[in-house]
Amino acid sequence: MTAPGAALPSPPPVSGSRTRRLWVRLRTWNSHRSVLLGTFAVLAVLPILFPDPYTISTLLFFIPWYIAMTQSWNISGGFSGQLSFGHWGLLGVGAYTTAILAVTFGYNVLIAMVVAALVTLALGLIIGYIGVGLRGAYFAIATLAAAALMQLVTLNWQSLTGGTFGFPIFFLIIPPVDLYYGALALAAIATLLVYAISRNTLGLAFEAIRENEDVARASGVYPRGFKSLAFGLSGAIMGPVGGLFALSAHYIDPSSAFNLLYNLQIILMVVVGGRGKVFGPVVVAILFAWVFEVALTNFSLYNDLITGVIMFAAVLLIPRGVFGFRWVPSFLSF
Amino acid sequence: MGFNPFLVALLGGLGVGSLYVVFALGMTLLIGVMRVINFTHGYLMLLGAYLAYFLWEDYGLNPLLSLVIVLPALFAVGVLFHFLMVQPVLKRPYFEDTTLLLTFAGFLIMDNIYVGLWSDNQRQIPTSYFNTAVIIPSPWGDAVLSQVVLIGAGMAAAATVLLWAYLRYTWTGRAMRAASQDLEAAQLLGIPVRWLYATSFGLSAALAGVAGVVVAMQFLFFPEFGFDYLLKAFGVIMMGGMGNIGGTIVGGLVLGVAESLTSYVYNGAYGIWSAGATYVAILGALAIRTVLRRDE
Repeated sequence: MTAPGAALPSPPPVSGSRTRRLWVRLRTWNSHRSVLLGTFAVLAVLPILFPDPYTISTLLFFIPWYIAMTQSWNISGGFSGQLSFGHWGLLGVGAYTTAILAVTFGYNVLIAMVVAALVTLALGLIIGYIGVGLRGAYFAIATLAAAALMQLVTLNWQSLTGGTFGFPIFFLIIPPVDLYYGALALAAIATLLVYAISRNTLGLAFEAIRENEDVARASGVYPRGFKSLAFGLSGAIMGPVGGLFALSAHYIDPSSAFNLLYNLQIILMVVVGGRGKVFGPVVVAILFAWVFEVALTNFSLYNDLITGVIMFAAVLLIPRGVFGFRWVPSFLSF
Repeated sequence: MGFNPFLVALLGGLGVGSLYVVFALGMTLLIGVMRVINFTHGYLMLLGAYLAYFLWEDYGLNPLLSLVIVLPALFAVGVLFHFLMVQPVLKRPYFEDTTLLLTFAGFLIMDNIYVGLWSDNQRQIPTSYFNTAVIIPSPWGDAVLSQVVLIGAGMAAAATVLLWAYLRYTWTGRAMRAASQDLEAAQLLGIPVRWLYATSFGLSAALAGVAGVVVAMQFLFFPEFGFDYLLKAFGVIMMGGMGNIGGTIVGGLVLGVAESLTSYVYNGAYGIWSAGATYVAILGALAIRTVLRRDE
């Protein structure tokens, strides 16, 4: 099986007049871009079709939110092979950073989310750098510990975070439609990032490290920088994701903002959608956002159980994801 | 002469550390022999704890005697887990990642089943040893220990010695060490890997069962305990080196003492920092490894 990034020939060298360049662009426009654009166009008109604020805040919002999280995990877990169990910690840090900046210090929400992205980018770079020598499962343990440490610090830093009493964000009322389009923009950025990585030498470098680190190093692809970069990019998306979570929840505490279940859900989505794919995780995130937020609210007691069983079956039965079968047309399996 | 609180904390830390040792040994065994990180290990330990608890509650069985039932039961569960989570994916290219995801799914399923069956209630087997103190005199002041901690440490030491003897003197133990050194060579020499792996998983689960009985006597346990102990085992393993039994023993004792001294120093005034010792142990061990590695 060839790597996804290498499946299509690269476009011819661009030269000549402006019209000529435009023509080359159009000619190399591929079905993948159409499929992605179409999907996001449908997502963009969803709140017009279902304008009820309750529907938007309880169901629709979570669709782009899960897409952004899934693509974030996909960068590190899918491309560079870093099996992260630390994304729940980054989500919590993003949520608290946004909430503290916006409520305690009164900054604009967008600025607060950008700062949250920078904070989680820095954390991601650090974790990626420390964990560079660790393969597979050991990296998972390290990230799990890092996230648990973040939760512990949040819990004990009472003067800033409120500790176990939680952090209320009631006074900051943002219409659900705005939250939805914010999440959609973030999902689009994340998907674009994953698409760009998959069509670039950067993606090839990540995949080389995933497949065989020693061979990659021998070929001049040094894991230290690339692994840090992959985890940093992945972490940068988690900051605003956490911020959106805080804004939509109106109230966060260390056990709701730091929830290991979110981490498991996004791993599940990437595994079912196909690791290192662009479109599969998007489709699966759209489906599972509905499953997790609507179908399971009636069985919230058994949420973990159902998630675990789906994951168990997916890992055993469809290791390459739903679009990994041979009969799936190539414009879907990318 | 009065009590020396520092000495009490130190001895208490060693007592808890011996529990961590026996718990983490099961995990180390799996990592060493099969390169499988078992996320369900904490919940296997709780299975032992609940089994001992219900044997005590329903039949009045002494928790030390209940080991006779707990150990074979946990061994059987371990073998079952092998055929559910390891055997089907043995030939897959990403074997380590796949088993990690499978055991993590198992972790979630077990957590939910435990909460559903036995609720979040805190349970403990109140033995007479628990309230009996042992006073150890020393020139710096007396140290005091609960008798149950001594019994737990004794069980942990016995389990460790038995495991060492098993690995050292039996055919299966030798096969396990061979498989951990070079899997292909071991296969070529006729070691049936499937059954060896099943036995290792069973042995690992049985060690978790011993830890579970100790936990049931010493602490108030509830389903979330499984996750806490999982992280502690990771801390021990990271400090001691992957699949290294001697390192695990040292790491477990160090972690126990570190936690105990953290809560002795902070004394609860600044929140619950003692759990942080685990995370710092994991990340610190990693950071040192990363700094020492020069080949990248």
